[in-house]
Amino acid sequence: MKNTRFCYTIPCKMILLVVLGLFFSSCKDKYKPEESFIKIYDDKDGNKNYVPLSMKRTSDDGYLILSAYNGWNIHIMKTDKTGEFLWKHDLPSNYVNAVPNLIERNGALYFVCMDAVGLFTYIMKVDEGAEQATDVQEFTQIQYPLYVHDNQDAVYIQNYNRATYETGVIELDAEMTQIQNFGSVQIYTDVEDKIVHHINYTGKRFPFSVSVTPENNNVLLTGFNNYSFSTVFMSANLNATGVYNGAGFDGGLNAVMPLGGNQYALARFSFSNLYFNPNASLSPTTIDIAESIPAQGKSELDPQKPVLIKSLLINGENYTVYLATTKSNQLQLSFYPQGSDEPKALKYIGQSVPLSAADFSLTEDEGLIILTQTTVLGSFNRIATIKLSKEELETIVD
Amino acid sequence: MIQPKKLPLFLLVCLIAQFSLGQRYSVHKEKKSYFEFSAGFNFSIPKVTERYSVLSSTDEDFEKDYDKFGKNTGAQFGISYSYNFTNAISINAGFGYQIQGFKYFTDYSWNDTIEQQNLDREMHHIQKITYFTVPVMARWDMTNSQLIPFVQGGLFFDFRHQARKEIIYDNTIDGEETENQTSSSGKVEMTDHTRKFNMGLIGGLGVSYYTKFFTIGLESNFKYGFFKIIKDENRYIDQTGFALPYLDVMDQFKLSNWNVQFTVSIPINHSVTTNILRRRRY
Repeated sequence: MKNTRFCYTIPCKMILLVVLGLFFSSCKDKYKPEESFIKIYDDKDGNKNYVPLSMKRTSDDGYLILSAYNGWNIHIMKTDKTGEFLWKHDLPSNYVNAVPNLIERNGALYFVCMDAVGLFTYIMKVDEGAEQATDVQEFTQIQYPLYVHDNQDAVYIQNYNRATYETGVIELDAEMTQIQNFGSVQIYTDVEDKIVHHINYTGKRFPFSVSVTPENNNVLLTGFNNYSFSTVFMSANLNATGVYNGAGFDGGLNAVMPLGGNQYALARFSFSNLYFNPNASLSPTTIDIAESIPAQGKSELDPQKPVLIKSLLINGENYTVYLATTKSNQLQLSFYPQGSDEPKALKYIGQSVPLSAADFSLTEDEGLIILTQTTVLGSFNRIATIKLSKEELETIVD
Repeated sequence: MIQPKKLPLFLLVCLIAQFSLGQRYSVHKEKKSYFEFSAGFNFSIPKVTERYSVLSSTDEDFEKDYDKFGKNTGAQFGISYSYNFTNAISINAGFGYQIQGFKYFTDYSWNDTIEQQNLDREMHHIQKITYFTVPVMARWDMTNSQLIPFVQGGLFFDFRHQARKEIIYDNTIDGEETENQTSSSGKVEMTDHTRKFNMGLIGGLGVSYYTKFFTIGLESNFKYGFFKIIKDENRYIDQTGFALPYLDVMDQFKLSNWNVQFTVSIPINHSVTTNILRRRRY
């Protein structure tokens, strides 16, 4: 009798334990909505055509996105940390041609744009409380701003001077209130129509850029120079010291990130081909052609779309990460371990829906957020964000 | 004069009356065991707890419009074992396979007042999730006549087998699948978007008709699931590939279910020898 009771009670207890285990394991809910998301920021107005340019995290863990719409008009929008739309603001029509990138200074966000008539440069401050942006500084001597780079110690603006036919680099102080230094290179051919098409989004968008080496001894200017689209090395006082010339306007560097020493992670293009070298050796005093820089061909990538290169710390390891767009309009992330010429991992995002890279960065929770342009239902260009969680990111490079 | 529309109902009442009034036997099944085979159809009722959408805007919300439960059809079949502690009280544990379906609807519209490049898109989302299900119920038989109404209740444990999804779309926003315009995404796997386990309460009522050799029955049960159905962590991993092309990610919800099923039971020991049916004494 005792044995029979034993036979029944043990399996019953085990079943009860299994049921309770299943119950409590199903009750567990570790999910946080901000960990990963895909958001497309919609506008019912079918006339609107958006091109995202830059994104920065705000002090409340949301994101501010700077975009162009319908050509050179400027649109800013704010999302919360889960990517949900909070507010948007279309700037008045005298403010045009916002240039990448957003600048963070003392908890506030700034961007650089142009006056529609005078073609000069404004420094705009985003007022998140009032959900708008106001100009805090104007530089009438800086015409046609094309790119801005924030070095924390200084802010560098690349511009085109239509009076002197020069590409300029203007170094502003960290507070962006005055010009500290100025350098330029001469252009010996008419590029104003290219500039106009670039800023109006009516033609080829050139990958203008400015970057500074970690040692602060060289400034790299990628823009129009001489008769081509070139990367010019400048000294710290903005005198040109060397150059890598592009193949006319059909070749040159898409993106370059100084790694320190004479090492650079770069992407270069030559007509319809795109090449990556995450560990290129460049000389700041040489005069050479960009196509001579050794690099690996990337046949599936579109050289006409932006290429972004950033150094990211993932799972305790430093990676040089490239974000580019494939010819079939997917996004491609390439993860190169520091010092390696071979990618450890590739990640494709999107299928059958056109995506175009705009910006990306690590997030507070060690995920990765990508700013991209997408075409909704094959019809309307809209701003989108794609967030990969920390786990997804670590799985990619695992 | 009976109206033609009410004829089936009349026949059903007659049939039940015939079974009930013509019963010459009482059922004695204490300490008897049965194997039961069941099959039927079901209707699902998703209860949305959190809403998610790919599109984000301040101008409008993009909430999905879930179909009424009558359109959320599915089916199930299974086997079970029951043991009668007394003539009235029994316990029933089984193993089954259940397809639960639910549908929702989304529509989008853009107006271009300059170039007239307008676009309307309506999408009908059809989801089917299949589960291996283990119901464990206690049952109370209300009489011991041959036709026995009963109520039952207990717990169920669902183990997800697979999940699939299809989107049918057209360019006319009218809530219907517009003929000659519809296209389909094709059926794609969404198993990894759903959670592996669910459990909850199950209860219902039915009738059984006992013969010497077998028992037939009709029953209806309501299942109330405790747990969320969608795996939140995988929502935007987008294994269906529907997030960007179809602007679709799943909401979070709990899934309840109402089923109707026919049953056939056979006593494990032959009913003649076990003497389940005994002539009534008047």
